[in-house]
Amino acid sequence: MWLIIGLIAGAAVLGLVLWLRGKDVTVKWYEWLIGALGLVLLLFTIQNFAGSLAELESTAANMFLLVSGLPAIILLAVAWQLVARRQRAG
Amino acid sequence: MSKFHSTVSRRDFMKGIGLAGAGLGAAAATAPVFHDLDEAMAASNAEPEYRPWWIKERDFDNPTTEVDWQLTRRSDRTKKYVFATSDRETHPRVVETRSHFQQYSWDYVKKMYPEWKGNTVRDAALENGSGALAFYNFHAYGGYRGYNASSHKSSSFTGLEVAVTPEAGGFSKWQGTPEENLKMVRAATRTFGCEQVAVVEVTANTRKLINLNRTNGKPINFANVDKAVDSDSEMVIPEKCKYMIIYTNLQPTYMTQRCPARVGLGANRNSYTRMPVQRVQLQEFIRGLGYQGLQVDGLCQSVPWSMLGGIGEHTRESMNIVSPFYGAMYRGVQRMLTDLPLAPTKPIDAGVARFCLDCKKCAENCPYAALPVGDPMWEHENPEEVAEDNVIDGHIYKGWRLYNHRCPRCQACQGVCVFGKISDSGMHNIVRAVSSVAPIFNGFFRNMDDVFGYGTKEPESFWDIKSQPVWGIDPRLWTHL
Repeated sequence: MWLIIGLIAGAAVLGLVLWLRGKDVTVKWYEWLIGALGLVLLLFTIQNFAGSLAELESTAANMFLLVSGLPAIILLAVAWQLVARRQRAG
Repeated sequence: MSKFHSTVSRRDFMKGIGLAGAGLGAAAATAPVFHDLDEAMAASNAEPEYRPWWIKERDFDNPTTEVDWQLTRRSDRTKKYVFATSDRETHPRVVETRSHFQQYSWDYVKKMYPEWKGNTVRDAALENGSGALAFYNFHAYGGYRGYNASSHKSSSFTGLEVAVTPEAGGFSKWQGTPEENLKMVRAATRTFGCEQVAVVEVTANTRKLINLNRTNGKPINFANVDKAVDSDSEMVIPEKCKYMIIYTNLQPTYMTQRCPARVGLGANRNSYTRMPVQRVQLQEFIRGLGYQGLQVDGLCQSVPWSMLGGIGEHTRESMNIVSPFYGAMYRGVQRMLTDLPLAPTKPIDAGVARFCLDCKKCAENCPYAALPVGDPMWEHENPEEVAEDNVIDGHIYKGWRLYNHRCPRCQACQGVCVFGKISDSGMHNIVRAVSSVAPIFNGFFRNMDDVFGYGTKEPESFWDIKSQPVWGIDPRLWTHL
């Protein structure tokens, strides 16, 4: 599973970088950092969600979605909005 | 003319061959030569049992629980103890506990799962089926009671003695270094169904952990004899049998998680049924090597030995050792003395006992209020049991002691221990590691354990588990070993 997730994540990041270059969008270092933290937290959530379901711990699985999944989405959204708003302003 | 040419002259080439030949010869002369696999094995160092970086080893005789080795003495087992495990016990506290046995367990589960409709006939059947060959019910060889050193059958101590000895089989006695022997015993014992193997050397201190006598008064003596003796008047342990093998047996995972409902109560019976088989197998394996194995499960207590060997740490669970990998899921940490030289294993500090100070999950979840809630003490926490001297004779340690008047062995505490997790979710190993090095987070982790819904499971859901593991023990509990 992690091989596939790694391939998808790598392809997604590569695609993002190429797309940003194509659109001539610049990303500040802290925006990369926030985005990377969000991605790591998202992967953490996926692992623990799937692991908890395998352990037959459905409550724990749902709690991982809430406790680490939600912050992951928020961080990714913050990174996206920072870049988007700066682009619009510029 | 060729486009390529060698830069090495014929003379240099021949010289190189000569040097290479000499080098190979020298290497062959100094390198070990193995004639068979036994020699190859003997040449390698024994691999230690896998331990992650956050598990620290401590000095021998110095576990995380403080022991007063000066005052510790061999237990007099003729002393009577009052336990809440027997319907025949007339002690008023025990009678009170026994009269509420099913009710307290029922209330505990019902409070947690109001929709639960109660124990069903299939739950009771599973408990009874699991226990059909355990305890007193197994009248053939291998039965727990019929093959335990504390039983009426004296043959259990020295064993069946049916395995072919090396002499009879045309071999010479097995010879190996203590490290190789440990590796070998681990390999054999794992095939018998045991998860962890530890070894404690019997020293002046640790000898004190072997009882002075049996409950019928028969003395247990050490002597410079060649073979162990179990006569009508005494049991004799040869001085040369100075290695205690400690080998474990897990309870069925999903049953333990559902205790104290009846669907879970057969968990310990399942383990008690397997234990005598493992004992016989290990004992006869040792005999086949040309050495003695002595079943001493009835002659000493499990927690001190497993703590000293590094199986786990002594905690609030009192009568159960708690492993950083398996929590309190063990039932039957067995002991066998042998004269097969074995490399001792060290006590561990995985932060388990330290975590226990803040956690108290087992004590708070005990339907019978039978687990201590305070900090470690040199005495029993319950003044009533202190007054009655209802503590194991001779064991002087700063730790926790079970409320014997109250504990009917419902096993609820074993299922809720925070360390007994199936570790598919990577978070569990992160928590284990962080709590070991940064105990400041222990209280937080304990609270999160509750918030995330870990602990006793809804009993009826046992029957809906799609793929019950063989023996009931989820193999994902031990994938790291």
